[in-house]
Order: sequence, then structure tokens, then C-alpha cells
Amino acid sequence: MRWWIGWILCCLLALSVQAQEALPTFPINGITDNRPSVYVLTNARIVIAPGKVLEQGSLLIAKGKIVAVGPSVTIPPEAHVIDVSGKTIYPSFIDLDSDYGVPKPPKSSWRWDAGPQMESKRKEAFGWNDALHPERRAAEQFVVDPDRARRYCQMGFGAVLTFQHDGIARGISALVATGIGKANKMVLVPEVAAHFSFDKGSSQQDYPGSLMGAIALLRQTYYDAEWYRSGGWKAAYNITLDAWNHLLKLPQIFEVRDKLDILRVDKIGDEFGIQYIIRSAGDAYQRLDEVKATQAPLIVPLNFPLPYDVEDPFDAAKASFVQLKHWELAPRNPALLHQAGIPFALTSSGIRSPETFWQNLRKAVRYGLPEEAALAALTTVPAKLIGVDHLLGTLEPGKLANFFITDGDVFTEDATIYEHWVLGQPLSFYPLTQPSLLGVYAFQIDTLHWQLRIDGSIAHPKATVIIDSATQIRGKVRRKQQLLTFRFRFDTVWNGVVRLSGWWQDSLLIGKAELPSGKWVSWQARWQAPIEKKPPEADTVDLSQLGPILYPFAPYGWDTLPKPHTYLIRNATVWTNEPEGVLPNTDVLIRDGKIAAVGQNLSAPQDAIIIDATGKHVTPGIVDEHSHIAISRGVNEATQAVTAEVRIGDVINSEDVNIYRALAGGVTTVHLLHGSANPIGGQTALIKTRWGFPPEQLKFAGAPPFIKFALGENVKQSNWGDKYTVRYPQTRMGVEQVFRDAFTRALEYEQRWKRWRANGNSNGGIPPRRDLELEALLEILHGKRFITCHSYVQSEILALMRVAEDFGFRVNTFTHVLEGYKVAKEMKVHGAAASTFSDWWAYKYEVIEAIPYNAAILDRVGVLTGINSDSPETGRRLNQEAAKAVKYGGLSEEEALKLVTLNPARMLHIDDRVGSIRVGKDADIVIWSDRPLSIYARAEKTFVDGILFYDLERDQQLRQEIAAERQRIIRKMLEEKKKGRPTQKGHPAKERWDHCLDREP
Amino acid sequence: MMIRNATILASWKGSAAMKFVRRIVTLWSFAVLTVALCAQIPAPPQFQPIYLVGGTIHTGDGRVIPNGVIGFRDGKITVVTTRDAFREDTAQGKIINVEGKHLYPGLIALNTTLGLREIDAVRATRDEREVGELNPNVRAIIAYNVDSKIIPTVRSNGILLAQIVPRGPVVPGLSSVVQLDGWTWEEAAYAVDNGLHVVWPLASRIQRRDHSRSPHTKQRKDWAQERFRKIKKLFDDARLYCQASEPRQINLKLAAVCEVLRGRRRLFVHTNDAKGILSAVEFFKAYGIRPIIVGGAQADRVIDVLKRDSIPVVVTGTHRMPPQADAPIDHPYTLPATLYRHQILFAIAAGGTWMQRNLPFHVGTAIAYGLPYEEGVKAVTSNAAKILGIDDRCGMLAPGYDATLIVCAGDLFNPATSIVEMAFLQGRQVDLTDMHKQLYQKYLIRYGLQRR
Repeated sequence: MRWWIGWILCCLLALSVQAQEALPTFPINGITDNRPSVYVLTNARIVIAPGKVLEQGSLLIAKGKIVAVGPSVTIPPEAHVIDVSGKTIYPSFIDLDSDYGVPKPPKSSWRWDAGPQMESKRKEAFGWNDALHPERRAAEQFVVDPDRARRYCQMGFGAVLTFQHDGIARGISALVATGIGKANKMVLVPEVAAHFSFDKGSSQQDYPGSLMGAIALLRQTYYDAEWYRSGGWKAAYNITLDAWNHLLKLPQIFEVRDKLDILRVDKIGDEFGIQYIIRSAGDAYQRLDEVKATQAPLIVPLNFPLPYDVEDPFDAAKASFVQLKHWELAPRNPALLHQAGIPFALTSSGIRSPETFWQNLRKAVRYGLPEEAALAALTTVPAKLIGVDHLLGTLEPGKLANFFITDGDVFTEDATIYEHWVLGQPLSFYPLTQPSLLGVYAFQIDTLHWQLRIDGSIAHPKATVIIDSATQIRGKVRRKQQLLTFRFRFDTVWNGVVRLSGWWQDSLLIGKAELPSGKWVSWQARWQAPIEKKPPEADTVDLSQLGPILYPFAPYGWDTLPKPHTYLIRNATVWTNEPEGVLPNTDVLIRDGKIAAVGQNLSAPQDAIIIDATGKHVTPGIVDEHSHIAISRGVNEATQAVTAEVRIGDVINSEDVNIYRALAGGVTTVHLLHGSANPIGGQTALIKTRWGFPPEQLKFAGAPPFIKFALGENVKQSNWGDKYTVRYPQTRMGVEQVFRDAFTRALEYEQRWKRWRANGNSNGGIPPRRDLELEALLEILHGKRFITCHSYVQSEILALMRVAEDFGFRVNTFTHVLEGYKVAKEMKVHGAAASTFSDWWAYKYEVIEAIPYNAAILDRVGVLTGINSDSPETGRRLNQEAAKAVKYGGLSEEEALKLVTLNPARMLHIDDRVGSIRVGKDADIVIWSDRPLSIYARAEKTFVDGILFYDLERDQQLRQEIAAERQRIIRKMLEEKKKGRPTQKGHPAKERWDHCLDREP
Repeated sequence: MMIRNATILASWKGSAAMKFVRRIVTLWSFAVLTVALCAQIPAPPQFQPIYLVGGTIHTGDGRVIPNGVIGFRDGKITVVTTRDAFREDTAQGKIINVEGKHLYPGLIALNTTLGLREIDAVRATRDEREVGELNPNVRAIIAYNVDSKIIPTVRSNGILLAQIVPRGPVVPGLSSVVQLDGWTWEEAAYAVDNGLHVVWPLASRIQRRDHSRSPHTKQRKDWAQERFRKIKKLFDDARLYCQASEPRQINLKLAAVCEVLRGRRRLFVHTNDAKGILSAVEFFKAYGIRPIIVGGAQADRVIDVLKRDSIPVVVTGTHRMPPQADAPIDHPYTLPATLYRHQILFAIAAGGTWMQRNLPFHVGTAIAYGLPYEEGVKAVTSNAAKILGIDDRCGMLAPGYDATLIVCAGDLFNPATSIVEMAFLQGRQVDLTDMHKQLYQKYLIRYGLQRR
């Protein structure tokens, strides 16, 4: 019955608070009730700012602001004086990543089988893409959510930066206080920062369908906005571009999914002169040097991963090595960022319960983050990052009265927050005045004398009766104002539950207890000593016991990156791919990353590491002309017929274990291609398999740029299901016209710019719009970018060559080109190269006449011919694939080896660097255990640029290390589970084996 | 004018250009003959004894006979011995010199949809997957297309027998063994409906398939449970059904399962997962069935159980990716050697249809990674025959066995030397041309090239 009375009182109280807060312009229903709201908190330990502590002082606040702080302040007569002696006041935290009080974005109901949505469905004057919402303003959406506000206050946050996490451009955030009151009061700064991500959110429009598409969309939109600003607005009104230009003046915050995204974001920023603040994913420690080089301030999450449930060994196997390693090292992330001098703010994003937040914050400190830095990352740093350091972050006069009161150092376990004041209004979690129960007591019940220990936190005390050192009984304790209730199970003494009820009398707890028999007895507990605070043993962290950070952060990664050495490979059979042919008993000297000498009985330089290769075979590293490994989040931008603007080079994934696996197959150069879902796909990237190096350093410097084209069934969506019948083209006829149209548009584009430059004011003063797609096409027309074109049947191969001839350029490479053998003569005349499969066929109609003799015929007719993998599986045994050209078509072994080494190097125009063993070329070299084309041959050592990146012996050793590291971390996790900590099930991140034949890469 | 022309003609005659044209014409007429035949004609029964003399014979049971002789008559092997020990009267027979060549039993392709599926992406050519989850009664054999263009390309790489398996999510149906030569499926059939296939339900496997539709792990698990319950009910009901002397109502599905319960039909369980293998073995033990595991990527983790219960494994290829990122990078390559070391009966299979022609190279890779050579031979011959229950007739080169064998120019398992020159199926010499060789021939003509 009584609870509802309490509720009514609460509501009345709330009303009275509101009455005090009456807003200007708002009418009042009742009598004016303005009160001064002046408070002085005295005798407090005040943390004015990180590293600036007032051991004993007072804080004067009035009208929601701090008026004075110091050892003693003049107390105005109208002030409420609150004695908080023994307690500590901290400035409230600021969270820069929140969706507090804004509506949840609508769920995307995108389904792969729903059919395409090529255009925006919005009817207002927005821009063309539904993933861009620069016009959204969180301040206009914000409402107060008391439950969440309380939770934030319990975590120490007094203000959060909130916005709707939806789309690639997410609009403008508002800084709001986490107090309870009118939204008008809580919005501290209505326009704070512009927010971005690579995630298209609720947009159901197809484009962008990949990470590289998202990057291209962002870049193009920056250019579009520039154009709009400089006259484009005259052409047509565009809400999106208008808003985009508006938010450029704000701090720009970019949310990413992993550490490589940080580098990607920074690259975009460099192009447009923007330094983003990056909301990172908690794995920045895995590429610390590169992250530091971006100079981007970070927003770093504290939601460390839970341990995996590893009790069942088969389930344990499902937790991947990376997941295990990251679980162990994630709490170390903030400390490592701090050590590296990277500025960062911490966020509670992703954490629901205040307990977890505090546990994780303290964990970060135990893992090496200095308390002062932790505090700064929650107060002054975020305030400064968004330019509100004049309002928040410290407890200095003039700033907002946002602070919380604790029983002591907030970084110790079991610290309690009594009150959190937001804008000068307190939110109470635990009565300030109530004495603490914590301590050790002499305990007497009936005639028995024991000890009672009450520990835990002030708000959540735990009681233990200590009968002797062996017998300790944990009980339940509840406290309501002055009344106490305990419950103990004394099985040995009274055989049942004993209930105690009592009250606080100075340093004495006293009361009555009911025994299981029903008998009532007296009890009392006299305070003896405080609880000695010592960190529980299990929670001390020996940082030296943590596993190493690997580069890349993947199985088979390096502790420290390898360096080039001078190597002398002795007495091998050397397959040179040069006119000398195969040289028996020959030495190869590798120095400074290059092949320094090839010959017999070379003298060894002093610093040379000598490798006896007697009985072994040495070849140049394999060049895979067509691969989709090492690409992050999407190989195809399959959404439009022409996507020349997307670039694989933006999304290289240096952490893909397939790089290592390729090395183990003797592969040293890999051409990473866009998929084949559209006639004009994306720009490709050429990498070397420098396992461990960051993405930019994988790139083959100086290699000429390529772009992927595609023909046939994939681009006309023949095998995409019945829903995909609307995108142009649906026939080979249409495919050809797409090319002609695209190149025609590119030429017109060039003319437009020429005219504009010659006569600036044409076209009504509207400048041409910079178009990344057409610029890539122009590069093709100018011979600055080469085409590698996915192709199958002879008709389409001929057609593309004729289109190219009409536009005055040459198709550099036809890839797959399974009917190349039917038009080998024409290809030779045109000058196109062929990069094919060894023996694939019958997987779709257009390969019904594909034959394994294709490579041999093309090669013999004189077409530059190679064999590629298009698969991470085939990609690690391309030597065997080449051997099939010996079986099918009778090429010699030397000719066949060239199909996967020199010939692809020539078609990529890098044969001055790689593809053969010649003095001066890059030392990309493989030592094989057998004849290189033999199925029994294993790559024993693979060098790239004179660095030994793969070594069979080291591989064996790494396997053992990986197994040992797994076991070590699994043991740690088992301990966590034993302690009753929550766990999660392991789900290995599914390895994506991208393949351009697949519709869904 | 005339004179001039004559001179030109004279100079033309005997010139290089004329030789070229003549060569083209010869090549063309030859090609017209072969190409016009278009399809390969099934061979007639063996009509005379044949003796292959001087080759290295890999018998398929682990032995090698260098410089050996193998003789066969009426489709059956009569003699396998060394040349020195060979005494048989060869007067009636045909002697073929195979010196320097390698002889193997015809390879057996397990777990394939060859003949059921012609072009992967064209629905009309796909015949391997019936609607519904429980199809123990559907029979792959009747859909087997002997005229598939793929079959000759597989055969010409030494694969002479195949287990034709239907596909599906839970119980796809009945497989049969066929010879890869014959006018009709009835002629091709070698062991009819002798295998029932079950795809073992597994949370993780289904997760992968229905990834986009079901965001909750729990829901995915229930899916697996649901399928598991269906399998259990099928086998329970079948047990009752076949116990009854006179079933009240004929049930095709239960009858098909009965044959397994009576031990007259083998049970193939498809799973790669270690836990899946364990649970399948335990599950079928209750029915007195010893399943054959197909897939078995993680079989190395449950070796003890496989050994304890003598469970055979069909390793579906060595050219696979490692099961997990942190697995040894050669894990699929070494799996056969691991199984061999632990004396598990295993065979090696290749995936899909056209890829069957790479079956020898899956074996080659296993050999490169520790499997003894002759064990590699067994993995695609006698072991496969044992798993299929046809080891009394084929899989080995020994007297009394079918004369199903191939002659290879060199090492069959190494691509560069893997050129199959002759093949005999029950003594019939099989046509080793195929569409690919014909197209090769055709386009050599276009470019005036000689066959190498």
C-alpha cells in the first residue's frame, strides 16, 4: 500500500524542481517559485582537474555553475552548506559517443533476395544517396531519458555527445547534460560535431555495397559539396550538399570498425585537409605506429571483450586465435595509446551497466594507464576535442556544476558514488550522511563470540561471520536508513538460517535474532577496525606475462618485423626465366633487397647468411595476376554498372592470413582485383606479400595502375536470381554499349573542363563537377591506366577489343579468358595479354567450351599468357596449376613456369623489377624442395625484397607457439569462468574466401 | 601470261608455303573425322585376351611390380606378375608394350554429382537436389546422364568408376556406383543404391548457410536440433517399420532406411566438424550402424573414436583451405597422412563434377605431405572400393578382379607427367578422347600448330 505514497511524493518533488527551473518564454501554471539554488560543499577533497587536487576545500555553486573553489570560500547567506568531509569530488565525465535520447535508427530490412534498389526513395530535395544524412541535427531529436540519465550519472558522466548512429554521414551531434529536467535545459551545445562512418546503416539503397564504395561515396561527396559551394547551387537545390557545407566548420568525428579503418579515414582526411577525430574500435594497439602517424585524436571504447566459454574443448577451438589474443590485450589498449603519446578520450559506448564501466576503467588502469591520464581521457581531453573546455572538464569557476561525490579514490575497487550533480542539481544514489558500515566487528550472538566482517562497497556491503580461520559464513545484509537486516546460514551451529535485525548505535550494531528453532536471542557487534584495502590477488596484473602483440595481429604474425639481410644461396638449380635458362649448381646472392649476383662459386660477403641449397631449386617468386585475398569488407561494388571510382587500394587488409598462406606457396606479388559484378569495376591494387607490414607498405610502389572490367554472365546478372533483371545491361549487347557510353561521357567530361578553363564563365557560372568515376576512365583513354578484363567467350573478347580500338587504346589483359584460344590470333594482333585458369570449366554456361589447353594454345600463338588463381586455395599452389600446361598442351616446364612468374610480371608492366632471376631485380625468390612444377615441391623459403618472409622451419616453430599461446590464454579464461565472470561463446569470424565468380563475394 | 602463271605454280610447288597448306589440309581432314564423331562411343566387350607388358604396376593393395605383366580375359584379370615370372601362353591374345609406363587400377571417384549436374549455374542441368529435407528414397542412379560431356574429360584422367551422390540439407537420398562408360545408366551401373546419405546437422554449419536470416544464435541452434530430431524420428520409425513382418502401409522412405538398418546398405554421414563426427558415430551406434564419414576435415581431432569404432573416412579433397585461420597452413594436405599413421581406413575424394579430373592431384598433394606413395594409390582405388563395398570386384590389380585399369605415361599424381594413355573397364578399352581434346585439335588447325 505504501509504495504508491512514495511515488506521489517523488512526483511532487519532481514538480517542485521543475518549478524552480522555469524556462523563459514558458508560461507557468501556478505561482512563481524562483529559488536561489546556491550550494557550498565543504571539507571535501576536490579533484579540480586531472593532476590538480585540493586535499581539503570547498566548492561554491550557484545557478548551475561553479562560482568558487578553494581551501576556503566565502559562503553567501542564501547557500545551503553541505559537509562532505572524507569524501572526494570529481568533475563529471564527458562521453563523446552516445545515442542518448535520440531515436534509434530504423532497422534496415535489406535482404539479398529482395532485388535491387538503385535509386533513393526519398521524395524531398535530398542528394542521391540514402546513406548520407548530413542535415540531421541531434539537438532537434533529443529528449530526456531518465533511466539512461541515471545510468550515465552512475558511470560518472555528466554530459554526453549524442547523435543518431545511422548512415555514412550522420549529421550533427549535440552535447547534452545527463540531468533530469526539460530537454531545453539539458542541451548544452546544440551543434558540436559532424559524424561519419563507413556503415550505410538503415539505407536500403544498393550503393555503396562495399567498404571501398563507402570511401568513394565520401570522397565524391566532398568534391560535390565543393562544387555546390562554388556555383553548383545554381543548378539545383540539394539539402544534402547544403548541409554538408554547413557542417564542414565543425569538428569531424569518424566511427570505424577496426584499426585499419583508422588509416583509411586519415587518408580521406588528408585529401580534403581534414583531421578527423576517430572513434576507434579498441584495437588501435595492434598498429600503434601507423595510428600514431595519422595524428588523429581517438575516442577509445572501454567495452573490453568478455572471455570466451572454453570449457568444451571443441567449442574452445571455435574461438579464433585473434579473438583469444585480443581478449587478453584489449585492456592494455588505453595504456599503450597513452605511452605512445596519442591523445584520446574514453567512451562508455557499448557498456550498459555502471558496474562494468567502472570495472573496465579500473582494469585499464591496472593494465598500465596512469590514473591521471584516465581521468583526463574522461574529462579535459574530450572537452577540448569538441571545444567545450570553457564549459566542462574541470571544477573551475565559471564552468558548469557537473561533478560527482565519492567515498574516495574512484579507481579503487568498491568506490561508491553518493551523488552526481548535473547543472547544479543533485542526483542521489546513496545518502551522503549515512555512516559507512564497513569494518571488522567483535560479534556476539546469544552466548557465542565470533568476528563479523563487513566489506564490499558502502552502497553494497557484504557480511561475513568468521567463526575461525577455517569456517567463514557469508551472509546477506540489507540496510534501510537506520535499520539493518542480516541473514546467515549457520548449518553447523543451529542447523538453519538465522535472521538478525538491528540498528546502529555509535560504533555498536545491536539487535535481536531469530534462531531456526524460533527462539529469539540478542546480538551485538562492536566496531574494531577498518577494512584493510588491498587489491584482491587475482586482479593484480603482471604486464610482463601478457602475450606479445603480433604484426599483423593474426596467427603466424611477427613479434618484430623482419629485416632484409645479405643471403648467399649456394649450389641450387636456378630457374632464371632469362635466356640462360635453368642453371645447375648455381649461387644467388641477395643484397639490399636486390639480386646482387648469379653464378657459380660466388664469394660470400662477410655479412652474408649462407643457405646451402644443394638439391634444391630456386625460382623467381610467383606473380598471381588475379586474386581477391587481403581485401576488407567487399570485393565487389556490385551496385552500379560503372564503378570506376572505387579503389581496392583503399581497402587492403594487411591482417589476412591468406597473405602468409600465399607466401607458403611461393607467391610474392599479388594483383588484388575488384570483382566482376559490373562491366566497369574498381581500380585494382598490386601488392607484395610483405606479411606483417601495414597496408600502404604492402603496395608495389611504382607499379602502373590497373582497373577491372568484366563481361558476360556476371555483369549481365545471369545467375543472380529472378529479381535481378532490371539493372542495365542484361545482355552482351548492352555491355558493349555501356563501355561506349562510359568512354564517350569521359571524353565529354574532359571537354567540359577544357572549355571551363579556357572560358571560366560559361554554363551560367556553374563550374564542371569533379567526377572521380570519369577521371578514372580518362586515365584509361590516355594510356595511364590499364585494363584487366574478366571475360569468357570469344564474341565479347572481340567486342571489347574493337571498342578499345575505336577509342584509341589497348585492352592490356583479358583475365579468365577461357575462350581466348578461339581468338588467339586477334588477341595477338590487338596486343592483349591472357591470364587464364589452368582447367576450370562447366560452372556456368559461358564456360561450356573452356578447355585446359587454353594456356598452351595462347602461349604458342604468341599471346602473352599467364595462369592465375582467383582463389586463395589455388593461389597457394599456382606452381601445380602451371604444371597442368605441361600436361595439357605440352609446354616445356620452363615455359610453364613463366606462366606464373615472368609472364604475369610482363602483363603488369613490372618485369623490370620481378619475374626472373637477373642481377638488379628485386630479390623475390623461392627455394623449392623439388622441381618447381612438381606436385611434390614445397616452398621452403620465400624472400620478398631480400626479406625472408616465409621459412618452413620457422613455420613449424610458429605452429607450436600458436598452440602454446592458445593453451595459455584458454587456461586464463577457464580461471575467469571459475571466478564466475560472464563469458561468451566463440564464433570464429568466418573466413571470407572471395572469388569473383561468386555473385555475393 | 600462261608462262608466268606456270612459273608461279612451279615455285609454289614444293615451297614452304605449300607444305604449310598441305599440312593444314591433312590436319583438317583428320580433325573432321575425329570431331565429327563428336561423342565418345562406349567400348564393346573384350573379345581377346590382352597382355600389358613391361610397365610398373601399382597393384592398389600397396605393392609395386616393376617391369611387370598384367593379363586379362573376358573382362577379368588373369595374371599379374613380373616379366621374368610370366609364363602364360599369349598366342590368342594381344600384347601391348607398356615399358616405362605406370599402371594403376582405375581410379574411383567418391561423393560426386558427376552425371547429375552438367552446368553449375544452369538450373535445367541440375538434377542432384530434390525438394524437402528427408529423401532417403530418391535414387541418384536413374538421373545419371551417361552422355554428360564432363564424364569423358574425367575419364581421360584415369577415373573409371564413380559414386554418384544426391545432395540435400538432411537426408539427400541413395547413391550408386557407376562405371564411366556405357550406353545407358543401366549399363553403367556397378552397385545400385548401395549408399544412403545423411548430412549431419550442426549449429555452425547451418549458421553459415542461414547467416543473413537469423540474427540469433539460439534460433540457429534450434534449427540444428530440429533437423536432428527429424533424423532420429526417421530412423526410429524405420526400425519399427522393418520389424513388422507385414507393414500396414507401404512407406517408401522408411523402406529405404530399413535397408540400412538391416545392414544391406551403407550409411554415409557428411560432416567436417569434430563434434559432428563424434555425435554421428554415437548416434548411429544405437542402431547398430557403423557410418562412413564424408568430409572429415577435422577428423584428426577425433582419431581415437574413429579408431575405436573402425569408422572409415572419405576425405573430400586435400586442395582445401585450413579449417581455421590459426590451423597449420598445410592441415588439409597432411590429413590423409595423419589418418594413415593412425590406421584409419580412408579414401580421398575431390569435389564437384568437372573437378573430378583433378582427383589424382589431391592424392599427389597428400603424398607430398607424408602419405607413402602406394598408400596414395590405395586412397583412390582399393580403399575407396572397400568403403563402397565393391572391393571383391575392383580396386585392385589381382587375378579374378575386374580388368579395370589405366596406363599412364608417367607418375599419375604429378600433373606434368599425368598423361593417361590407355584405360580398360572390365577389359573393354575405353575411348580417351573428350570434348576438350577435340576442341584443342580444332583450334590447332586454326593456328596451323602441331599437336605437342
